Amino acid sequence: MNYVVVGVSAAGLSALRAIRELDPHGDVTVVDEETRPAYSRVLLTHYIAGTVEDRDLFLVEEEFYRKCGVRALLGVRATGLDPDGRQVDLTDGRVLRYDRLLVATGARAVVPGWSAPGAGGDRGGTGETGVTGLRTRDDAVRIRRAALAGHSVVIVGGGPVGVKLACALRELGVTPTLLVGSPRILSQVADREASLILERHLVRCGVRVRCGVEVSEVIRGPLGTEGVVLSDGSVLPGRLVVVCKGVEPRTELVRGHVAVRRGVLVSGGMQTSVPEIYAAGDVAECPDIWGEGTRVSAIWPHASRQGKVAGTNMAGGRDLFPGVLPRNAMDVLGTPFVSMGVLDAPAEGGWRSVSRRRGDSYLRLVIRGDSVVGAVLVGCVRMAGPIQAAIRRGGRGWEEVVAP
Amino acid sequence: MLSIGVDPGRCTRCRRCEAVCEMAHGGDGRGLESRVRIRDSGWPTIGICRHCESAPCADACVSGAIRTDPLEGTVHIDASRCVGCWSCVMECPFAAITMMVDVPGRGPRALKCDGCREWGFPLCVRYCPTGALRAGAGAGETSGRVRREHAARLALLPGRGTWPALRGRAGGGTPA
Repeated sequence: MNYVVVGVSAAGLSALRAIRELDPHGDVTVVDEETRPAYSRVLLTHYIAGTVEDRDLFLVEEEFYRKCGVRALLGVRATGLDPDGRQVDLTDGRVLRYDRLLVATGARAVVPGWSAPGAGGDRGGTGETGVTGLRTRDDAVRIRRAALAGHSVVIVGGGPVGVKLACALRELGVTPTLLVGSPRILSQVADREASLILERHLVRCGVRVRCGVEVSEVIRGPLGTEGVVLSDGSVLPGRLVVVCKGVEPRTELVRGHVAVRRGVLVSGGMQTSVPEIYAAGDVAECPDIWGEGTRVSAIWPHASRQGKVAGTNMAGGRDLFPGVLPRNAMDVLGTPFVSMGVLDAPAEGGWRSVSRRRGDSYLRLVIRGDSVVGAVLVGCVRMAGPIQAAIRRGGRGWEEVVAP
Repeated sequence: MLSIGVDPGRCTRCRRCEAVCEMAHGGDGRGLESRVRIRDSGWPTIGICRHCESAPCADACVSGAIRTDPLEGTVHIDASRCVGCWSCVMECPFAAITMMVDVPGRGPRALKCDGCREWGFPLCVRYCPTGALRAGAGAGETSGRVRREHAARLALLPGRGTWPALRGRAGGGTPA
């Protein structure tokens, strides 16, 4: 059997391991555009803060691919796909034949118009000042260097990555400004009350937070980037602008060949609409745990689990992904935060929410009928796991779990 | 080293296990170091690690800090690698992860039962007066049955693989 895995991060790597477990002698080739072995994107903010060393970012050692008998083509990209001929074209001109293909190309950072290269952004640059995203190790190195050099940093986007970056910079002693387009931080992953608790905490810890503003322009001067012009007309100085406006699935390799909505549509077995092509991780769009729709959920645990399922099935085993349950955990400068599932209870249709607040400790459950379908926890989050188990088993029995 | 079994029906919430665990792991008596947590009400009564065979905490760990000991089957957190992201807390269905939020001179980190590796025997078990925590020959079966019941109660999806299994421990009983 001839396997090709495009993209080795969380999903690709766990797929690789699953394939090797079931098929020790199959021909496996991995393709990745980064030149070094797979690393943990989730750790990048910890690297910036200085709590994780550069060498600890890597998920596997340089020797890993050779040791498990995998051909690794690093520093190249897959550019074309021929599903009938079962072939993948690479940037270096090579053509790879496959019996089973895994698309684990991940996601890319969203680039708003004002930060595009033509509009004054210099993504991919290496200078300490300028405009960058936070997606790759190179991005993280650049941000850390800028912070250590004392340059002022503006973070654009109040989602999990933006907030984690703000925390990391604060730990370094830098005072970043967090610009949030929505009226509150973490608007996609927290309810209103949790957002406000965490925002107040960030401000108390020395992060400047401005909500309800967008960037309209980058100001360039003789020394490079000098700041940004905001949607309300005001000007904010800053030498490094970090854009954290979320990610989008990198579907271009398979678009037109397999069914794609926002991400590449896959079954619970991680199979696309073409049986010998699989997809997993941030690029995949999967049924949710309630079987009510499909979702792209760019989180680490989903990626590694989906990779394992895909790899197992590609190698002739049988495994099923239980479905997407969106969730996030993070530490906001000493205040733990977890959220999962559905975060808003519509006013009608048998929905309600149960919440409890003690100081800055906050718990909220979203209930549909009698079943818990979502939760937000701030401060004391120890019961997040049992709540997740309750959601997964159909939502019953949550009263016991949240008993005071 | 021996396997640990949990029978919450026998727990009187005397909290001796918390105190002993705290001392066994070098705590200062405030209970922050304890890896066992007894709840005043609700479920789970005793928050302690079941050393799952396919541990969700280890799968979720972003820094590779949580590993299964290949010989014993016990699950351990390497404190030097933990970055305190709380992903493991979010995944553990048994509420077994203790969170050290304030560590002087260091960031937050997660703690969990290590089976009292340094002591050679789990001290919470030794000092539990009612047998809610057990270990030793036979405890493997007991704990396996009881823990399976808990898992059924939590109705973990079989695919989650949280069935507890302690392998190869001297006197640890049969794998659950």
